[in-house]
Amino acid sequence: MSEEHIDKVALVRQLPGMDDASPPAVVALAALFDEVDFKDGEYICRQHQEADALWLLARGEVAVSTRDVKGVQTLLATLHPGALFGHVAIFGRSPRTAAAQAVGPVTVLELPRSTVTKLLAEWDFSVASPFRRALIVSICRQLTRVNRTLAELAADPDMPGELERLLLRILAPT
Amino acid sequence: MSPEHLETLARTSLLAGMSTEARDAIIARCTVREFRKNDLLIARGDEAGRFLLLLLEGTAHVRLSETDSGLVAVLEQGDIAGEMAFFDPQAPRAADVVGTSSGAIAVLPLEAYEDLRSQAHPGAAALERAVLWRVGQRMRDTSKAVDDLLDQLSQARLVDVLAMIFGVDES
Repeated sequence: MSEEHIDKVALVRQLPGMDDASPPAVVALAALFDEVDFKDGEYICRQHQEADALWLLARGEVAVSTRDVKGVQTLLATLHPGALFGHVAIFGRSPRTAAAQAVGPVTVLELPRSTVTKLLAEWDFSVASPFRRALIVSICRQLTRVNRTLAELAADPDMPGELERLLLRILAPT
Repeated sequence: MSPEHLETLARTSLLAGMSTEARDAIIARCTVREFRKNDLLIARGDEAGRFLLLLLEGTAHVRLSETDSGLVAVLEQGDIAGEMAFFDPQAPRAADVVGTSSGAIAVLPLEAYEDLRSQAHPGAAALERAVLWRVGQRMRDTSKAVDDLLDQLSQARLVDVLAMIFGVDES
């Protein structure tokens, strides 16, 4: 564990959807997260790995990247403190679609899948409801951003016809 | 609510897996509205009247704009819309939902969900779980489709755009 103090309660309270959670509920939720440190270059999760936890970035930066079938790596995002990640794959028992790697020293708050499952299904309502709402809002915001960008891309007049058709199919699967 | 609409609503995948207590509480707070082709069911940017929409009959399109590329989802029986603004008080309505046939929707007002929540009612928990599962599934499907696209293409420009798509707030 790093020497620097991590304020778990403050990190959990800033999650979207937590606005009206009671202070005791935020404290109880924060207590469920384990603090885990990673060194520069260490993987927090790898692409195609089974999703066994979600994370809240507490300190440092995390690079999210994907590798295509030819082995070409693409940086998708750089995450900063406060970012929730790894939460989409955890519900569908689907493998990770991207890898997350520490850039410099990193501390994350980790919530194992077993705790997430219990929290969503049977935990006290005052704690579980804000957490469910935080996850819904996080995913909806991500989905809105993806849809908006795909729509802008498909509307680009320089877009080759075949690619435009593929993008439109992703946007509105039939 | 007609017996037919009641039965359809109870059988939708959103509600079918819930306990009887949870499902009945939600159904009791829904109203049914009929619509015709081209009716605007949700207006983009609308701040008032937050509600969750559940399609009971007919079809509808979710649109960011009037162009072909503005179409972001095709709704069919049992699909939901409006969940973003329903659960996120800071989010304006991001898209229009327009009827593409005649049909019917069930509407659950935000106040009804807040009422269930204030009682820690199983209906509120069941609704949150069901919507979470839905949006998670939709995100995974979209990620998988974009991933497949990435595997098919190697244009450098597209790779940049994909990084932009999945990029998070850099602030």
